[in-house]
Amino acid sequence: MAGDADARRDRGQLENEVLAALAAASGPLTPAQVLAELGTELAYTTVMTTLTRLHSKGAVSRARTGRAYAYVLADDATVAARRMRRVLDNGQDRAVVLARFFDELDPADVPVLAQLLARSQET
Amino acid sequence: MRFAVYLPLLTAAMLGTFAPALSRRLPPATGTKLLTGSAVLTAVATSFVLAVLAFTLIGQLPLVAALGHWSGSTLAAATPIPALGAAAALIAGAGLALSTGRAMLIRARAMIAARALCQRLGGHPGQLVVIDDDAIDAFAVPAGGGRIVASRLLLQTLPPAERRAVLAHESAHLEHHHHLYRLAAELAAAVNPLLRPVARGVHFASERWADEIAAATVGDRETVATALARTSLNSRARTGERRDACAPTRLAITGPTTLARVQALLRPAPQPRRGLVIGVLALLAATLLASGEIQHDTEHLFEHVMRTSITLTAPGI
Repeated sequence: MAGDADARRDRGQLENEVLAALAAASGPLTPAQVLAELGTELAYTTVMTTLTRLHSKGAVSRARTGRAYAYVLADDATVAARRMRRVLDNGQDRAVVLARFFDELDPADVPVLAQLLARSQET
Repeated sequence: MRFAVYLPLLTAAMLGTFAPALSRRLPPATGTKLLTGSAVLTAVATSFVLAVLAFTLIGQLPLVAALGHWSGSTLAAATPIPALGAAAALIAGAGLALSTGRAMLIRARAMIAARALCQRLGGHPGQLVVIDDDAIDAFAVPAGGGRIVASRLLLQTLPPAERRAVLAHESAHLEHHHHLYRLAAELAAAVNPLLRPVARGVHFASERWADEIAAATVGDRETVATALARTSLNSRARTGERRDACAPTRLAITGPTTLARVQALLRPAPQPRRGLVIGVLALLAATLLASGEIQHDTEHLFEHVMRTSITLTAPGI
């Protein structure tokens, strides 16, 4: 049972990574390009299966380019910014329920953080 | 009873004092659970004590005394709690009940808003939804199965491994129901304001918990640290000034913790701290014992008052 849950979670995580790669790209990507963009050691067929599954869920759309399909994020997987911001800027609700990746930075922390970032990029 | 009634307050004050250190030293999953549990238990003990103290005064009202079949003046003579203390407990209890009600209302409204947001987002549970705008932002919406939201710009500015770290961090929030721990801790802090630092500790520890899961997923702590430093700096460079201008309304309830998270990720993974856990559990056990004693003493007090009242009011005496 735990194995099933793990597999489902990994599948969901991979689907999100593929969606993120497509969102970051400037145009449609072929499965080979997605694989390169993911930067992990994955089998081509795994990426292919994930793209097919996302397509059947309506999260990505595809168009034939030569012999392969090229994929882009479907409209359903993106949200118009204005509509979204209106909900988000609505009072205290945002701070109370949403789990943000990072908090507001204390201005005093900015140079420290910049230094840490510069150092880690050197190595 | 005279001393036991102060113990829940003392526990709350101690937890409040040590919560920041505990949230940094304990492994984050342990810290989140232990601090949430302590906050809830202490809040319950506090309300119990306030209710008991207040009732030693309310019980002296003629109407209440008549309903309970005891004499108000006998109770006034027998209670070990000074009237002034009981009155303070009554006022504090009423005020805290109001503020707790308000906190619950805000939370309920926020959950409804999150649910509505989730419905608008579409997609399936746990899915990433991309916002097309010029902000650098990522967050998890814990309703309707949960969604992860990220702005396109954030995804474009991160290398693949760091993108994976952000996604793993946000899905960890959803998978481990971090919003429920935060909810419980914040309601406990509304009941007993001394517990506010504990609620902040739960917030911080649950962020760290998600960071550790992200580090395990990408297999490298420094990648998560870099992703965190990069996104917060980029976001500030882009919107920092604008945001500072309207800070009062959107000030993060937790205060700035990003730097502390980055520093924790640059250190080795936290080790179990059995001593700290046992210390907190001992404190909670003492609070439970004190609450038990208060209950026992209160029962005795009222039994005594009722017995004495019956003798006093019996006909023919």
